[in-house]
Amino acid sequence: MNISIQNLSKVYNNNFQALHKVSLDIETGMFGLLGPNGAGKSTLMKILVTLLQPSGGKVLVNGVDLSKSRKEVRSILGYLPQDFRFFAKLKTYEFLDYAASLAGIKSRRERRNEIEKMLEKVGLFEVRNRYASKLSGGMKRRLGIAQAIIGEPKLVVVDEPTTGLDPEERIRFRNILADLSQKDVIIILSTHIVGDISSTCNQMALLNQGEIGFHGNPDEFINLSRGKVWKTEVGFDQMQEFNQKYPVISTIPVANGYEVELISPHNSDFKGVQIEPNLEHAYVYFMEYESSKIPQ
Amino acid sequence: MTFTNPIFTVARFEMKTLLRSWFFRIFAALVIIILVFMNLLMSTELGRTGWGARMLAGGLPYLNLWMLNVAQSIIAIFLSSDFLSRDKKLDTTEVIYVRSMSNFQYVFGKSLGILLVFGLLNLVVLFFTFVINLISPDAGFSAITYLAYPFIISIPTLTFVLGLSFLVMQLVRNQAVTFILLLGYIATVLFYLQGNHYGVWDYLGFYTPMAFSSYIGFDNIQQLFIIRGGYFVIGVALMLLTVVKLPRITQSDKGFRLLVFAPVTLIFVFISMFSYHIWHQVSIDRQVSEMNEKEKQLPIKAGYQISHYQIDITHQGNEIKGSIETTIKANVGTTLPEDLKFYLNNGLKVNKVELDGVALNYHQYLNLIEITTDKKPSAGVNLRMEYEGNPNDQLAYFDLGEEERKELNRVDPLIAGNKNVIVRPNYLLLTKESMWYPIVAERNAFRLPQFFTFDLKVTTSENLTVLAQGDKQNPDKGQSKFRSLQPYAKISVVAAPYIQKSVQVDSVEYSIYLKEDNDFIGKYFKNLPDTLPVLIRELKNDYERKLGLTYPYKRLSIVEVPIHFKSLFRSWALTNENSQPEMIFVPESGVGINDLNLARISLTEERNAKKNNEEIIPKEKEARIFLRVVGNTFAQPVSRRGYFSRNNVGRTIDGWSPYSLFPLFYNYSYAVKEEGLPFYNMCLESFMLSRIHSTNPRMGRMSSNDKSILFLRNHTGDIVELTDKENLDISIADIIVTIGNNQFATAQARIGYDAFNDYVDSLLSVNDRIIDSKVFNEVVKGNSSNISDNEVELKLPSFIFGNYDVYEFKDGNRKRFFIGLNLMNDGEEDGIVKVSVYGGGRGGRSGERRGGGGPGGQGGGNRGRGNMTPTYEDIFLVEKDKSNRIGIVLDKPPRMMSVHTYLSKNVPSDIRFPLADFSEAPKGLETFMGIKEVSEEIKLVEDNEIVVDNESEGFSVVNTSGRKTLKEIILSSKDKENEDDDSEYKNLSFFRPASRWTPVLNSLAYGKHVKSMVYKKAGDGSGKAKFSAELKISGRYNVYAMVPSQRLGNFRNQDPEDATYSFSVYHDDGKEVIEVPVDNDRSDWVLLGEYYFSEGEAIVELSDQTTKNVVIADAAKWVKL
Repeated sequence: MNISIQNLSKVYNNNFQALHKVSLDIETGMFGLLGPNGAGKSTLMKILVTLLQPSGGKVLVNGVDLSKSRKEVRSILGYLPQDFRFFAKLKTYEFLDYAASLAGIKSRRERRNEIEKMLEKVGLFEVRNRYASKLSGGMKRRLGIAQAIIGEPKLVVVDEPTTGLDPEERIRFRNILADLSQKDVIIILSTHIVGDISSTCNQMALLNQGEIGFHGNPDEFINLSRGKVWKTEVGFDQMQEFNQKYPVISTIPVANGYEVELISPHNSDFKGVQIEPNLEHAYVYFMEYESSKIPQ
Repeated sequence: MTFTNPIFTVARFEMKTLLRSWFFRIFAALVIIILVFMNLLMSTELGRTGWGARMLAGGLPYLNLWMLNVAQSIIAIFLSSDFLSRDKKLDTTEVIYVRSMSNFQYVFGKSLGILLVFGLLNLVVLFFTFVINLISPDAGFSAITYLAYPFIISIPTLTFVLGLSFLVMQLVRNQAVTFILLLGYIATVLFYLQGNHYGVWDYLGFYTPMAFSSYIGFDNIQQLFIIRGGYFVIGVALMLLTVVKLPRITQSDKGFRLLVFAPVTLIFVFISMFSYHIWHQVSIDRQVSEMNEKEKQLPIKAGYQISHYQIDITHQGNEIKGSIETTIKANVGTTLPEDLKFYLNNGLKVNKVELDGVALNYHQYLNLIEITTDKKPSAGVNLRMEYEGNPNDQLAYFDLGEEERKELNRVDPLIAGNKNVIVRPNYLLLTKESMWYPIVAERNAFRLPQFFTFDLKVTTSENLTVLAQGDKQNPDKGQSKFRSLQPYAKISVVAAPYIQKSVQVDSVEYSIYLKEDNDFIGKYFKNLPDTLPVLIRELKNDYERKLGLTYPYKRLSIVEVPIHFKSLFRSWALTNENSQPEMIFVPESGVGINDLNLARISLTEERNAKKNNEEIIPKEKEARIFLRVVGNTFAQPVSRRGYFSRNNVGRTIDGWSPYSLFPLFYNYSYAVKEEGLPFYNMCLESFMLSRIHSTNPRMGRMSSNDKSILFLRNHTGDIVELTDKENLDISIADIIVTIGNNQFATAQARIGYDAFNDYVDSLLSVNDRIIDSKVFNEVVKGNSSNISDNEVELKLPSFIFGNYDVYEFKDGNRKRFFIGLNLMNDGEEDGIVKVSVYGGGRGGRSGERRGGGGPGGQGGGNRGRGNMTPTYEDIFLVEKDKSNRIGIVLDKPPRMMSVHTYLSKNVPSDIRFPLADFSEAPKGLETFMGIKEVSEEIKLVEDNEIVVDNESEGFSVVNTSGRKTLKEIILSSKDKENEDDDSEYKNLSFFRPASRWTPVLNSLAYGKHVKSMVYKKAGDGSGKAKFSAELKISGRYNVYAMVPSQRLGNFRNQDPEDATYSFSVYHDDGKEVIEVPVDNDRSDWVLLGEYYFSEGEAIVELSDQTTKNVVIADAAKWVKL
C-alpha cells in the first residue's frame, strides 16, 4: 500500500486556501499528520476520504487516481471524523452492523462474528445494546474507531481521535491503532497532540498553514531540534522577559525562581544545560524557528 | 458488492431509525386508533353499521387507504425532509458517506426505507381493514382491491411526496420552510385545486374515481394509469434529481452523467402522459360544446317521430353490433322533410343506411347522424340502419352545464366512475341517454317522452341474463327477444350475470335482479315470502290511490347496476336514467341508498322495538324493514341530501330521488302535446307530484318560487332565449314551473280543489297517453301570465297582510278554534294564496284529501327535512283592490299557519304565522270557513306614521371601517363568494354570519311586499344601519324600531338573555342612545321614546355592537303625536 499526494491544493468558496500544493508519500504503517489547529489537516483528511474535492493536484492510492476511482478507494476505506458525537437512533451493535454491511460483509453470520470481535477489541461488548448516543465520550470514540476498522480496510483515516479523551482512554485508543498497524494497512492519524504520534507513528508530516513543513520519520523530526533544547534556572524578575523571548516548554517553581525548559538555537543570553529533545520539543522548535522559513 | 446490497442496507437502517422515531410512532398510533374506531363505528355492529359503502367490493380498503393517504403524505413530508436535515446535522453521516456506494444507492436506499415503513403502516391498516371486512355485516370483499389499492393510492402519492420534499429540502435547505411549503401545497390541492383540470392536480388520489365494481372493476383505467402512474414517475424523477443534488461526491463521474439523463427522461415521460391526458380531455370538452351548439340549432320539435323500432343487437366483448329498422312518421297533416336527423352515440359507426330498401348517403358527426332522403315528400318511411362499435359516454349530457356533467359520483364519501353506458365482455348497460338506438334529433328529445312500440332481439353471451322492457319471448341460448305490447317512452338493455328473485302479485311480476354471488337482500326477508304479496298490494294500492294513477306495466324490476353508473336529472322533467319503464336501477349493493343498508335498518328496527318494549317476531320485523325500504327509497320522490350536495331548493334537481317510482307511473306514460317548451308537461308533472309529496320552504333559504319572482323582476324577454342562457341563478324550468303552479292553483281556486282534481283524473284516465295542451288552455285561462306566448313580462298581484287572530270558541258542546286572517290584494292582477295550517285536526272540510307525503314506511321518509303535513290546506282567489278575511275553523289547537303567495310581488312567498296564544272568542265573533270580502281597508302604515324600511330610500348602511383583521379579510372573501351568486338577497346564515350588512328575505321581517331585512355579524360599533325619514311637520313624535324576535339569529341559543341593540335617535335636542333589550318572542315595534323633531330629516341609527351573535336592521317608525 502506498499513497502519493501530489501538489494537492484546496481553496474554499470563501477564497480561503486551506491546502497549498501539498505533496506527500505515505507508505504502509501508521502515518501521523501533525499541525496546529487550522493548519488544514481536516481538509487533507476529507480529501483523502472522498468527502471533499481538491481544487488542484491529485492523490494516487496504490497508483490509482483517487478522483477517478472513488469506488475502489471507498471500498478499502475506514474513516473516523473529528466530530463523532451525534448518531441516528441506532444501538452500538447496530451501528457497527450498519458499517460492516456497507463495508461489504454480506453474510449475516460473518458480520456477527466480526462485530463481536470488534466489540471485544474496543471494549464495548458490554454496552452493545445501548443506544450509541448514550455512550460516554470515550466509548463513542472507540465505537468510532471500531466502525472505521471493521471490514479490514486498507486505508484508515482518523482525524484528531484523541482530543478530549482522558489519558487512560487515550492510551487504549493508541493501542488499538498500534495493533492495527501491524497489518498491511495505512493508518493516517491527524492530530495536534504530539504524544499521539511519538508513541505510534513510523512516518509523519507536519502541516502548517496548508503546507508541509516536514515529512519524514519522527526521529528525523526530533533531530531537527537536537542541541536547541535547554534547561535553566530563571529568577522571578527575569521570567517575564524569558517568556517573551523564548518558547518556554515547562516551568517548575524552585527556591529562587523557576526551572524552565526552553528552546533556543543558542545559549548566549543564559546559562543552561542542553537536554535530549523529544517530539514535543521538536514540534515547538519547528513551529517557532523553522516554519517562518517556509516561503509563503 | 452487488448493486442492490447498499440500497437494502441503507433502507434497513433507515427503517430502523424511522420506526424508532417518536414522531412516527405517535402519528402511526393515532392514525391506527382513529381508523380502527371509525371502522368499528361505521362498519360493524358495535357502531350502527351506518356506512353503506362497506358493502361495495373493496369499499373498506378504499376508504381506509383513502383516508390514510392524506395523513401519511403529511407525515411523509416531515420524515423525508427530516432525513436530509438529519444528514446535515449528524457528523456520523460522514462515516456512511465514505462507504463505497453511489449516491443513487444511498438516496434510493433512504427512500426505500421510508417507503417500507409506510408500507408497513399500510399493511397494518389493510390487516385490520381485513378483520373489519370479516366481521362487518354484508361487507363487500374483493381480494384484488387489497392488492390494487396500495398501488394506486399509497405508492404513487408517497413516491411523489417523498421525491418532492427531498428536492424542495435540497433547494431551500430548511426543514421548517420545506414542511410549511409542502403542507401548503397539500392544502391547496385538497381544498382548492381538488379534482379540477381533469384531475391532474390530485396527487393524493382524493378526487380521483377509484371505486371498484364487482361487475366491471375499476372505471377509467386509462385515467388511473396516467394520473397515478404519472405521479409515481414524477416522484421517481424527483428522487433522481435529489440524487443529482445530493451534497456528497459521486462514486463515479461516468455513472453520474448517465444519471442526469434519467430524471430528464422521466420528466419527459410524465409531461407526455399528462399532456396526452389533458389534450384528450380538452378535445372531448370541445366536442361536447360543439355538440351542445349543434343541439341549440335543432328545432324544438322535429316534425316527425319514430313510431316503431325493430332492433337487433349483438353484444360481443367491448362492442355492440346493431341492425335497426324504424318506422318514421311525419306529424299529422305534414310530410317528412328532406333531411332527417337522429341522435346516435358517436362510438357507434354506421355502416349502412337504407330508406325503404334503397341505400342512402348519410353524414355521421358526433352524436348526430344526418340522412338526406331525396325522396318525394311522404308521410312515412321505413329507415334501416346498421352500426357497430363501442358506444362511449364522452358526450353524455352534452346539453348540461360542465359543473353538473363533471360532478363526482360520490359514494359517501368514496368516488365512483361516471358511466352512462357500459359495454364490457360480461356486462352490458344501454339506456336512452346513451343513444344506442337512433332518436329523432330535436330539442325536446330528452325533455319530453316520445312513445313508440318495438321488437328487440339481443344476442350476447349465454351466461348473461338479459333484461329489457316488454314481454320476453322465446328465450334462446344467448338470444333474448322482447316485444312491446304497449307504447314505451324508452328502451334500456341490461345484460349481466344476475340472479332473479320475483313474486307475482295480481297482474304484476315484481323482481329484484342481483349479482349472482352477492344476494345482500334475501337474508333479511327469509320469513317474509308468504306475506310479501299482501304488503306489496297494500303499498301499491295506497300509492295508486294517492296519485290517482294505476301502475301501467306488467313488470316492476329493481335491477342492481355497477356503482360507476351515474345519471343526471334535467330540470325539464324529474326523471333520470335510474328509472326506466318497468325498471329501477339501483347502485351495486344498494350503496348510496340509505335504506338499502339493511344491516343497519334491521338493527334500528330491533332497537326501536326494544325501546318501545315491543316483542316483535322476525316476520314482523322483516315486514317493517320492507315497508321502510319501499317507502323511503322508491315511494318518495325526494331523497335525503348528502353532505356533499349543493344547496338548491325547489325544483332544481339534486333533491329528487333517482329511484322514485313516480316516473314509471306518470312520466313514462303520459305527455302533453305542446308546440314549444314542455310547459304544461312540467306543470302537470309538478301537480301530479304534489299528490304524493308536499314541498315545504326551508328556513334561511330562498325557494325556487322566490328566486323566480326576483328573477322575473329583473329579466324580461323571450323565454326560449333565456332557456339557453348560461349561469342564470335559477333554471328557466323553475320559472316555468312557478308560473305553471300559479296557473294550476288559480284554476283550482276558481273551479274548486276537488273539481280540478277530478278534471285532471279524467284527462289521465282517457286511453290516450298524449294529452292535447288545448284542453288545458280551456281550464287554465283568463290569466295574463300566460306562458304560451313565450314572453315573461308579467302583471302580478301583491298582498298586504293585516291582523290575524286565533280564537277558542264553543260550538254547541264542542270546543273549537277559529283562525281569521285579513289580507288585501293591492296588485295589478287577481291573485291566489294557499293557506296551510299545521297542528289542529281538520274542522270544516270533511273527508280524505289527497296530498302530503307518500306512503312512508315505518319511520317515515322525510326525517331530517322538517317536512310536515298540513292538517288544513286550501287555495283562495283574492281579487285585486279588495280587502278580504279568510276564516278557518278547526277542531284542535293549531300550531302554525303558513301562507303561500304564488307568483306575486310578495317575497318570500311563504309567510309563517305562529299561532301560540288563543284568546277567548269575543261575543258576536263570526266564525266561517272560506274567504269573504270585508269593508275596512287594510293599512300597513297609518296616516300619521312614517315608516322607513330597509328597502326604503332612506335606509343606508356603514360597514366596518378600513382596518381589517385577517379574520375579516377571510370573511369578506366569503362575502365575495356570496356576492358571486348574483341574486339580490343572500341566504341567511347564523352559523357563519356575513361580516358586512347583507340583505336577506325573511317572512318574519317587516315589509309591505318584500319582507326583507339586513343583517351582519355583531361588530365593535363602527358598522351602522341608518334609517332616515323626511318629516313634513315639526312636532313631537313617538319613535319606534322594529326589533326582531330574540330567536332570530340566536344560533343554538348561545346569545345572552340580557342582550340589547343600541339605537341612536337624532332629534332636535341632540342624540339619545337607547339600549333596547332583545327579548321578545316575535318581531315587533319597540318604542324608543318621544322626541321633538323639526321638519326635515330625522335619523335613527342602529349600531352593530351587541352581545348577540348578529345584528338585524329591519325598519324604524315615526308616529306624529
